Amino acid sequence: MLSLAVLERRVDRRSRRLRGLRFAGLAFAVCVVPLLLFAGGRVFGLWPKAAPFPLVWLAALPFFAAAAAFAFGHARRPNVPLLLLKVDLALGTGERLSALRELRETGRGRPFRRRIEKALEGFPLRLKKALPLGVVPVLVPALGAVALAGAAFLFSLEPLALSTAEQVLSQAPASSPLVASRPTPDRTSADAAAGLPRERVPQGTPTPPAGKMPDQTLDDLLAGVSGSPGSEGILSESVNDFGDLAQDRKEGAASLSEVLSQIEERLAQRPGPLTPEERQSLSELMDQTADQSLREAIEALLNEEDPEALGENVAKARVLSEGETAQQTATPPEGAEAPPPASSEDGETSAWGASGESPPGTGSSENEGPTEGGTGAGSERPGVPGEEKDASLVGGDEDASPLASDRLGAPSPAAGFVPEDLAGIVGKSGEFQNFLTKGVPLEALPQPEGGLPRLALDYDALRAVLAGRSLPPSAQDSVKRYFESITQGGP
Amino acid sequence: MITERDIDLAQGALARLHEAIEGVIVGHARIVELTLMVLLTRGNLLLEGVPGLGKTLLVKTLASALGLRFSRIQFTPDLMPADIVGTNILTEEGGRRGFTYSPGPLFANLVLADEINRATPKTQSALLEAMEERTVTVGKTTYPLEEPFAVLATQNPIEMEGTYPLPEAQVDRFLLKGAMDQPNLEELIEIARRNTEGEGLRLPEPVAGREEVLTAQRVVREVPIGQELRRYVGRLVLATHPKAAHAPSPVKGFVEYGSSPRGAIALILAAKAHAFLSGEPNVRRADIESVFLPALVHRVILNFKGEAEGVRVEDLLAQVWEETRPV
Repeated sequence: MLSLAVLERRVDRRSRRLRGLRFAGLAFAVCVVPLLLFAGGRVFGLWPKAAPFPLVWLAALPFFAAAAAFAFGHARRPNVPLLLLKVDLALGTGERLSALRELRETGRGRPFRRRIEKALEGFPLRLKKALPLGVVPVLVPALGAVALAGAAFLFSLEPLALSTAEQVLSQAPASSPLVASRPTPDRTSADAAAGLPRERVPQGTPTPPAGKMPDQTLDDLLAGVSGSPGSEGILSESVNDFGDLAQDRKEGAASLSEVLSQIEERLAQRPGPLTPEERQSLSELMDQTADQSLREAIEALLNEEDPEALGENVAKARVLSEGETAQQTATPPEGAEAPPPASSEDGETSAWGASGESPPGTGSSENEGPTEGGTGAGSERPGVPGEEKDASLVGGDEDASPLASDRLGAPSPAAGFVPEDLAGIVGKSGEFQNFLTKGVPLEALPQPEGGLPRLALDYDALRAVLAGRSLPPSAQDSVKRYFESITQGGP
Repeated sequence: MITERDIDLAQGALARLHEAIEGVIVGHARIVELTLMVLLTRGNLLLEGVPGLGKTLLVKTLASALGLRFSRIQFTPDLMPADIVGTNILTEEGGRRGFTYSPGPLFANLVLADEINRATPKTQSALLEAMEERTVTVGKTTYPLEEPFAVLATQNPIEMEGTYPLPEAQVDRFLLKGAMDQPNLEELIEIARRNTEGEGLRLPEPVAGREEVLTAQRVVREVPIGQELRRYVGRLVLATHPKAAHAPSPVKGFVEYGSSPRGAIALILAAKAHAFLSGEPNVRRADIESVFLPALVHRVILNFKGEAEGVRVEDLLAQVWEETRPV
């Protein structure tokens, strides 16, 4: 005999389970969508390639959401009369289950109740047929699983942004100021000698012959970088930042020159010590300048009490200041040869210079000479202590070599900006970055057998390099910390 | 409280009644069914059909088979309310004069109001009280009508000149509306045979009595209908309203007024009667579907646009049925 109460409990349980599964399926699919978007966005470089949290959390999110949704769906009380009608219609019982429930609820129509129960006797009440699983709990999670697999695949892909960055660098025109005045070693042979993995060597990066690079200003560099094809999406923000920095520095240098001129005029008319306003202006402008010699000159000026010596110091500082101003606004000197265009030869040659430069340390770079004129900042300044201390290691100066090549007897190549490629792996995912450096003083160490080549960084030399650059002290500290972080304090 | 015996008694009587009617009436099974439904649900039936299709014969047969009183009123423009409800007449009894009520033809169990739309609205409205309250008021006295009572009114759909369309209030009081169609060839031949051979048509002997009809009426009201099925009926009725959110777009465009709550009552009662006549112990969706049109077709009023475009209420209701699902 049919027990309506038992049937209702079965219907209730199945309905809760199905609704839980439906909710879980939907929640799973919905949560996979942002995961997929995140992975896709990462591939297309819409946001940083490194997630701010472990990716496994992101992958686990759909499962947690599905579990929560199942619990929510299962907890909700179903409409049993409606479910009974569904069962009636699905099984073709003639709506007897609904009527039976109605009779039980109202307590009327006992004769009809017996007739209905008799009619339902032996009727197969298959709830799986009446309340089927449906498409949603099956298809939606399946689609979600496919999407999850797609997201995992996308996460495994190298972000396109990096490829594009490589492309930008490789497609940079030969005349681009990005290419260095530093001697460009023949990385093909250098890598071969050092046993470096070839896939890490960017192909097609042209390097002009050393010694033919004009002086580069920050504006030139920015113009070159921003003018490189395909660089807009990658460098726009950085270029803007650098542009702001260059503009600030230009304005600071011009203001300093103007203040010094005013002081000079004032001293000519009525000699005397610096007024508090002049001192304040000079102090503020001194903090803004990155030229060490100029800073020292202003500092001496501020400490000078003798009006005659004060006049001399003002004149000296003004000369330095105008030199700084000229440097900031300088254009490449007339007649400076543009670097040769990118070679159409195979990548191995074109990657590291079409002019057949030899890598440092090989002793075959006879044709490399110091860069004509060197960098504006280094060549036109009066002596800077750091530079004088170990000029051979000052990558940014005339005859400095970033590597230890000159220690092996090779002529010291001129320093400049070159794309540096890390010959190793950075980060767990094996990502690498290109750096624009100006002759990092690295020294090749004896290579262990079967291991990657080892390089040593001379901090003193690096400090001298940075001192030679027009970099504020705070930026120097940042650079130092950066190199310490990537070398983990080791050589 | 009904018993098993009541159910058996009612079903037995209906089976015999069906047999008796089929012995006289050829075809018109649907109309016979609708007539029995209104009888079982204490309703009234509005029949549309041209003259000569056997409407009077059907009612006379039904009355004869049940042993009930039957009256036929031919509605004409000069018919007065007193002609149907009766009137007080001056009488003299024992030397004293007084008014005595003389019941009209409405005092019967089955009343055939033939061509009801030919009478004036005043006379038509004389039926209102009888149809709804089952009473007749003359002067200051109200007289109850004898149960079972049912009005079966007919309308001639082709001769509309000089007619008075039934007011909405009166139409709403008809539980069901049906249309009598022309018989097909086989039915026509059978009708001709029965009327032209032997002694002609003979009305059946009573196969059931008044008590059995009343019992059947009580039983039908107890036929169970599921809670959600009742809700479904409500949604169906609401879907005939142009302002209902779930009404089909044609309803919204062509309907002036949807069904009144009497439509839902009629739908459920008729479905119960249909289930009972079908031998089912409860109302099914199929029962509702069977009576959906007869119960609602006369309760949906088209707007001007709908009438101008010749929209059929039957089509609108078919769409309502299609678009309103039980679950």
